[in-house]
Amino acid sequence: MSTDLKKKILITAELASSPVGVFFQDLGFELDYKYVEGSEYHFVIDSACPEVKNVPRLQMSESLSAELHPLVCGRINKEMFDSEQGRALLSSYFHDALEFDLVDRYSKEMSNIYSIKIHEYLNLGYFIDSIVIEAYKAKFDISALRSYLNTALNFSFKKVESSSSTMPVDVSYSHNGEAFAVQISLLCDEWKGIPEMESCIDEFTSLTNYFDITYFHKTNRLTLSALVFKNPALKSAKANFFTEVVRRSADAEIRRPVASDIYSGLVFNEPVRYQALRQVITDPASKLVIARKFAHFIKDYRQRIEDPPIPLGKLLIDDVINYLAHYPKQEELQEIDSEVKHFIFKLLMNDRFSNDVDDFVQVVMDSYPHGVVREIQKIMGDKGLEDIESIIAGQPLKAEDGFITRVRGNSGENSRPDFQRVSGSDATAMSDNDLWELRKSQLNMKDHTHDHAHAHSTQSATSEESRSENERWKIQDLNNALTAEAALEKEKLEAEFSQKILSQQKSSDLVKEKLESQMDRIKKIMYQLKKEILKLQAEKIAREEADRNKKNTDAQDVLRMKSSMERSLETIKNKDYAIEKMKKDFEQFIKSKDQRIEMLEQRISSMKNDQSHPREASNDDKMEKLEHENKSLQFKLELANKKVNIVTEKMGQREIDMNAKREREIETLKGNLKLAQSIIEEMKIEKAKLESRANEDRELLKKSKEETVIKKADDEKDGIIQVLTSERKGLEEKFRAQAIELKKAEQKLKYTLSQLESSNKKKPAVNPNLKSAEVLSKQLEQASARMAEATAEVIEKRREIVKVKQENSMMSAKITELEKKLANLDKKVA
Amino acid sequence: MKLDFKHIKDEILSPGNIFWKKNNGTDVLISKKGDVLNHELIQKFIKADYNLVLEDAMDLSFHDSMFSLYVRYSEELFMRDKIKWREEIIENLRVEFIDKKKSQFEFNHLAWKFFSQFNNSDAAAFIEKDKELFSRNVSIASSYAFCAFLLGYYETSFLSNLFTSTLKNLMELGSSVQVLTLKEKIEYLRMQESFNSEDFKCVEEIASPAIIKSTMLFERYDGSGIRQINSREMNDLEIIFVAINRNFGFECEDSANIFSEIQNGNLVCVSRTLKMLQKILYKEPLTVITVTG
Repeated sequence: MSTDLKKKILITAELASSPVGVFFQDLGFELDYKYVEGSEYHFVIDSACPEVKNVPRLQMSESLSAELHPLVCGRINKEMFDSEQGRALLSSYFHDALEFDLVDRYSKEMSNIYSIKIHEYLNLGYFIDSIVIEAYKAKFDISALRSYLNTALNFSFKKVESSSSTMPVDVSYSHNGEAFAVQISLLCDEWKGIPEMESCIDEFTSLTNYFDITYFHKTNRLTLSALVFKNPALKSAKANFFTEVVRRSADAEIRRPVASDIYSGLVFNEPVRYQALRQVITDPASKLVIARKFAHFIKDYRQRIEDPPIPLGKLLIDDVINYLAHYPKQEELQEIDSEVKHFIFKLLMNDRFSNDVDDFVQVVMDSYPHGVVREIQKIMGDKGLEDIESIIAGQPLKAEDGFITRVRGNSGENSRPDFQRVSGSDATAMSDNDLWELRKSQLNMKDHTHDHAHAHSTQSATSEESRSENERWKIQDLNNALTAEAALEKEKLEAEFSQKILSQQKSSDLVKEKLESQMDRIKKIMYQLKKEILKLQAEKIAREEADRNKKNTDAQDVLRMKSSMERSLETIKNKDYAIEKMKKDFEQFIKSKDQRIEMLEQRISSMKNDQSHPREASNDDKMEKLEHENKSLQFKLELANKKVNIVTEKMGQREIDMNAKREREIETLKGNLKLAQSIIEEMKIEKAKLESRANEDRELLKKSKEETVIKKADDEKDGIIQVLTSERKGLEEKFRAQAIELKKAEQKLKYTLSQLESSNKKKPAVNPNLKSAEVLSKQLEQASARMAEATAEVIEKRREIVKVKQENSMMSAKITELEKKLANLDKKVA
Repeated sequence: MKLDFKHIKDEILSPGNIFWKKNNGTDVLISKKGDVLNHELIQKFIKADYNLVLEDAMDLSFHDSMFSLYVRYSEELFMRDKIKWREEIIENLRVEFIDKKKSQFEFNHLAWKFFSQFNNSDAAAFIEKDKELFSRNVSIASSYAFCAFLLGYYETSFLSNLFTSTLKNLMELGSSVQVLTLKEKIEYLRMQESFNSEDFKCVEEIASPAIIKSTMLFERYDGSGIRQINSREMNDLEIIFVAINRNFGFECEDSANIFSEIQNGNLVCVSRTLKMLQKILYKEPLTVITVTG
């Protein structure tokens, strides 16, 4: 274990003063330029100390030697350091180190965090849509995110399907308005490192701003984390990390000794496998050249090997790959993508592609309508195919760079003994010697293949400080002169080529290649010269700025101090946040612990209470319980008895009530009968009265008939007779009604008498008035039956009580046995 | 409530206390709440027209309705509709177990109905071993399966396997020691914030190497567990399992259910996972996105 508590990293002197060095310094790292034995370095940046092989390396520039590539476990580009958001991300990556979680970092303190588990490949589209919709709502670039998710999840499912486990793919994502973070986690039995995802790693890194692959050996878990910034200006900012957390043996140290409070997931010599990203060719002109090269090979192959060659019409696009399987340098086939493949196929289909210049240009234009090609056609006019091809090959990335211009002068020669001056507009402003020396040095520095033409000792502009006044003029002159010179060289070459090619109708491949290479070299030289000019200009501006800065060193120091203070404040804030997080977790742990302690205390107290009572007491308790049960049973029995008594009492009372009711009914019936008899007697008396009256009237009528003397009297008699007859009729009707009523009363009487008789004879009722009595009698019967049952139950309960008592005695016997056993066990325990 | 056999014919564990009410008024306990049901005996009683009553019973109608919902959810093929069913299930669970605060026992019963692949004889064997142990283990397995459901694991067969394998592993613990010793050791290990080498000896006494290797029973978030896996190396399932395993002791069955514990923040868990679960259980109108996690 190292006793050196300083946080050290190894860095090149150039990078130390750059934003990279400043960033790591602000994070609290000590920058070393030389490896010191015994010091523990967290990582090495770029090509610093190439002899150090046991420390992981961070790549900052593309031009890292191939030897160091296996040590590289992370790549960060300049744009990442330039942007504030990029720096914040890197700061938390290096600060939180092993605790760093991308999704947590951008989740607005866990409020915007989502998790998806995908069991089946079939549902992939649905879940990708749901993530993309969320990103769309938050106004992120969804096309890159969708492409990334499609590729990454396809890759993940392939891995899951090939592994033995059936665990679903776990996707979590979050966003905070500035960035969208996605983490895909899957179980993966075996992980061979980056080469496993070689086919898609380019896509992952190009589609995202941050991409991190971590493999946990202990849990066989592979995690792919990606982040996309919302700000389109940060599209080119890239940071990639490839980490593997190794399997620790069970008896190893649980925690690594913490050398400092800042360390990263990259450190501790974790074995990291990394393969540098291959260069992606995006330039269409370069692609055209590559396509042409392979098309040549295929054509040659078809002519030489195939006899007869397969007709072109029968060729398919996949045959291109079949032909290229015979290509001697298979590693070059990596450059072929689908576009190049299509290009090759198109070129093959047009069999005349290398025979005729115009046709070729037309083919090229048809195949890839690039502005450069049209420009070439315009410029070159009647030039040969090789010239056009070489120009296409040598085209800069952007056509507007102005490399294709018409210039006058001589074209360059490989073995030219001296340099021909070119007349330019500002060439005279510079002294001949200065111009010559500068030019020679630039050419010599950049291209050693032109030794014959430009090989001279390198004299860089070391005394620029003293010549600041003349330098601007010099640079301009140099620029003009060199451009003119290069253009002259180019034109001369072109003229020569065209002459040669026009004179020799059959161009040989050897000559073509030679000319192409010459043109390429010239182009390269021009590039390099331009770069040098730009560099010189930049240096000059920087020097001027440095002069100005010298005057304001104090202010700059203050600013630097301020910026470093701000950064340190940020780091302190991050630390505070981490501490708060830890504090919260710790408080939660303490709370739970307290709760558990309370519970335990309660348990202990209850156990103590239990222990404080002797076992006999517990037996007594049991006895008490049993007695209590007995008492409760007895109480229940008493209750049941009481209920039975109440029921019997109720039954008796109900019987008495029934009898009284019956007697009352009989009395009322008797009363009714008496009333009916009295009414009958009254009616009889009235009848007798009416009969006597009628007799009297008859006698009066007889008397009046006998006296019939006077007519008037007769009339009166007739009137009286009529009245009397009418009275008689009314009386007769009344009599009839009374007779009917009498008959009804008699019927009623008879019915009641018969009912009475039947009720007297039999208890079942015939009379409807006696129905309720019958029901009551039935109920009485049922109640008596229940009473009988209840008495039977009482008897049964008594029997059960006897049984329970027996059980009690049994239990007490068992308890005594158990006591004995417990005593024995106690003895054994003792 | 008078017992109807159709209410319990699909149950393995008794939903309440089942009594035989004799004519003489005495009550004879036939099956205690949570015991394995003896269907044959109960059928005999019912055929003989004996008066059987169910007391202190769970809301069986709720369980039936939830189960029918779950069946619909599992049979649904379209993800969008599946998510709708899932929403409804979660809402019902929230109402019953957070708002109405139903017991963990009822929670376990529902989980058993949803996820269990065990039959009557298995359950009887588990209870025979030790009822308290079984009760704790069922609580862990149920909480684990339901939390996995909340975290977005939607495949019903996966959840079912999760429940079954967890309960099986838990019941296989301590096969070579006395039950009382096993319970003591489990309780002791549960109380440890982090493990040391002495604790590992204790673990090795009660767990076979296969169980140690395949489960997260003896892991801690700080990586001090027997396999030394820390929270960063764990996935959501492993994180929640560690928390649930520590949450349940040998306490009474009517303790607060796991959803209430999560909602109240009493579950000692990694804050990210806990917040995710709280967010899902929180009453708010769910959307397509929120239901996914």
